[in-house]
Amino acid sequence: MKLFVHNFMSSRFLKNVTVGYPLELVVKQFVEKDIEFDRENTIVMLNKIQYEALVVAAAAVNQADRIPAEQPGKWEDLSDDQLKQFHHILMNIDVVDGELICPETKTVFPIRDGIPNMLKVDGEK
Amino acid sequence: MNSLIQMPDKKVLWMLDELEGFEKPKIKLEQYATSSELAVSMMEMIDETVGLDGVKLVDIGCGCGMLMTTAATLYDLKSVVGIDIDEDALKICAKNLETADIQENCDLLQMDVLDPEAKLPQGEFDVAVINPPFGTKNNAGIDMKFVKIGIELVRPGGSVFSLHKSSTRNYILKTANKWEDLEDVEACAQMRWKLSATYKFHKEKSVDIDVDLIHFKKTNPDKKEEKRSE
Repeated sequence: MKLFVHNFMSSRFLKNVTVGYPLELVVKQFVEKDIEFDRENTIVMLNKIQYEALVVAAAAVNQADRIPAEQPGKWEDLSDDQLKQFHHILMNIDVVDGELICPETKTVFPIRDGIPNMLKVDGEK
Repeated sequence: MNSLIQMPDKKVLWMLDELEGFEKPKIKLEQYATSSELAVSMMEMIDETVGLDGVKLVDIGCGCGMLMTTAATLYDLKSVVGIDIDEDALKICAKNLETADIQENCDLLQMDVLDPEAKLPQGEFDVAVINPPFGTKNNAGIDMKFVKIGIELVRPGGSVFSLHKSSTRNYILKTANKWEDLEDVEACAQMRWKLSATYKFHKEKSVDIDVDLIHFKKTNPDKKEEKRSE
């Protein structure tokens, strides 16, 4: 599961939810890839993400120091090198084993072999 | 857009044909492996209609991944996400992605898309492709439910392409034409799906099913405003 996936699973809802939602992320094993950087693509992606959740994801793999704690002004104003840091976190990190945790109910959704399992456990329903 | 449909490389067709199907298909989920011919025809049609290069694609109910693998192999997709409820299918799908050497660009999610409380990535994709359950096992109308999810997942102006039994065409067009968030619905092609015997209760070795590829185009409110100001 690439980290950009964590971002969109945390910030979109079917029903209105009062509490903001980044899913907590626990990473037990991940691999780092080297996906080609594309400035335009990266900016398009960054315009859609929820920054707070991105920081959560980066911290989960101990790479939060690559990016500022607060969202920078305009993505277009950043240099390629700066954008590459964001690209790295969004696209190059693939979580193989870990957990996504609902911050409200603390339900754990396991990530195994890179695939997050978002099905509710029977007891929940 | 290319007006010439370029025949895919024979090697590619052979590779797609060799992808693994369901080991033990689950009848309740109506798991049927999409044939590579059908997947290729479908993707070519979609490329003709909206173009697939540079697209963010989601395969809803991806099963063993035939649709997403075909799309990602034949076209230069920006990213691909496959969603399915069945862990066993996703394991096979992951293997197929590796066989096709496209796993770098693909992500898989195990989710029940019909669960009203599932947190789905809405508005995130350009195109959704679906080969839905046809609703033959006490779940009539399930194919339209999948389409509705597809419409939620694509961005404004995005497209959902899904397969349905040709016999249900009129019903589908009539129903979808009532939906507010659609700009257009159209049956863009009729195809024949030669479905091999999958379950023990199948008496014939294979059966031909006439299917329609239906294009559901989501409205783009911004575009409407642009037109007004012209």
